[in-house]
Amino acid sequence: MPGEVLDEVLSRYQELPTRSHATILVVSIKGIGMEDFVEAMLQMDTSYSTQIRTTTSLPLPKQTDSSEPRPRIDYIVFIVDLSNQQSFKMIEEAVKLVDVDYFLGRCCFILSKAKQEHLHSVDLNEVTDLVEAYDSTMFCGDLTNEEERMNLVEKVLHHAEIACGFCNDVNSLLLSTTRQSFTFEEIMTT
Amino acid sequence: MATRTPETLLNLDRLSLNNEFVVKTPLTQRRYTPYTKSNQRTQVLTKTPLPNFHQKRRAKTQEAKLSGRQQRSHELSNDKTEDISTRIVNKTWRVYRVSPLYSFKTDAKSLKLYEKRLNSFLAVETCRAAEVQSRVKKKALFTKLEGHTDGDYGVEIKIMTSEGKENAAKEELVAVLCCGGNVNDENLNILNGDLTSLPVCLIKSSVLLKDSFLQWLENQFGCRACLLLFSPTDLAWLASLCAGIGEPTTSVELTYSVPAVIPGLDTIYFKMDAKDARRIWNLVHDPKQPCFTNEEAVRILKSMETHFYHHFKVHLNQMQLTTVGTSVAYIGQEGRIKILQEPYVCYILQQLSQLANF
Repeated sequence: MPGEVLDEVLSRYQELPTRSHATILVVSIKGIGMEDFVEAMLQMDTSYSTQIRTTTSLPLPKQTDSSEPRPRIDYIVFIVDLSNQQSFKMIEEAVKLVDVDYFLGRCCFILSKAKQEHLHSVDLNEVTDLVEAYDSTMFCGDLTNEEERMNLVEKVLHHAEIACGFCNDVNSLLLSTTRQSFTFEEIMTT
Repeated sequence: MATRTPETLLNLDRLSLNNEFVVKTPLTQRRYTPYTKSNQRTQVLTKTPLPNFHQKRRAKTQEAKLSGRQQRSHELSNDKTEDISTRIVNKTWRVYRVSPLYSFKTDAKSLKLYEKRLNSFLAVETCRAAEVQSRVKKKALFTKLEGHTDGDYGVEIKIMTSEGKENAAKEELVAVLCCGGNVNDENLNILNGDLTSLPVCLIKSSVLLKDSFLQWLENQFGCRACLLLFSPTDLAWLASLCAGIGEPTTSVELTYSVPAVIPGLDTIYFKMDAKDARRIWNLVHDPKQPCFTNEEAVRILKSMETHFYHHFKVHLNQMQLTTVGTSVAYIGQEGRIKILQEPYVCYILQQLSQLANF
């Protein structure tokens, strides 16, 4: 049923954009520090209002209540805990149900516990291959660590701000096109 | 808002690399943050050669053991070298990974010299540590060990203490510095003449003495030693590898630690008859292939986890694998190992060397 599958794909063009308001969708399984991350994100001081929606898997359930429609999702955050195989499996399934438009700089992957290599249950190569295949931004940090979490929150909000078009002179497409060359330079210099 | 340049926005995640626990899986090339791929690094299909003697062994284990022992005793009388397997088997060790040693030689003369140096170092240390126990005398002993092939060799270091005039000396520390086979040819090529690569150090001792011994080792040979921690990926790989080799005598045991999110449950202990594990292994692994691939390892463990889910409705892939026990070896996440079957000591050491090497 191609029609049904198409219905499940999360697209940016199903809803109308909102003014000075960003909606961020966090895709993550429970118990890997997602709650703290969202909490920290809400406490950040931003020039625009943010709404954060969380889900433990995609596709999103069908909207039953038509009086309060789901807002347009401007930015998607995928969280992978490297010490949890299930989280990676879920993300692998979830990215298939996201519209290609989001991968033009409107989503990011967070690799939690990247530094604690002795806890890795997921092969890091597999994760980086996935991120590379979708050509998206990747942030590393430990969500259970206060300091690193705040760091990640700042970065994610920054990207979300651009993705929503609140930043002058920069848009997400510029971001995603220049990302590769910058990383390449980084490798060349180090 | 306008002052922000794209460069600052594109600031990739950079984490400091002063990582205390550096562990590498044999399956992957070690990569540093920000984990982006460079052009030189190509993905290689990971294969591990299986020990080629295990079919032969099974047929005539008794004979082989006997002749092996005779040979060894013969060797003993002739030379000072000893077999590495007998020294390591059936003991619980802590595994340390050691960077290449500078100007380390294994001939008898140099070993004598190291003995002397370690003795004097220990004498100073004990004097400094406690003046009460000044009567306790520590004595070091170096012995060269040999394995099945030319590639496997090691050096055993023993520190004995003798109190006063009593003759009965107690073994306080046993350390085996060893190298398993011709594992990493490219790495050996990088090393120039002055460096010797003995990447694995197995230590059995008290914490205090171990610390001072490692301090001496680091100062003497300009190397760095740190605990080799096994990540769940490593453990899963070792478990499925060990399930397929050796005599299936005891059971295959997997211990999982449950994340703190779930209250009231700490560990899950999963035990399975070794013969059943072997049957799974034989189903997955093609007997004609001399190598064991990563994919096969993943499939074996996954099938076990699926079986567990079928009965208990618990997703083991959300848990952390902490200990692995097979009939060949017991391996703990915190770097503890016990090898139970003598013929496979060298093979396991090879795998450890691979883990410890970059």
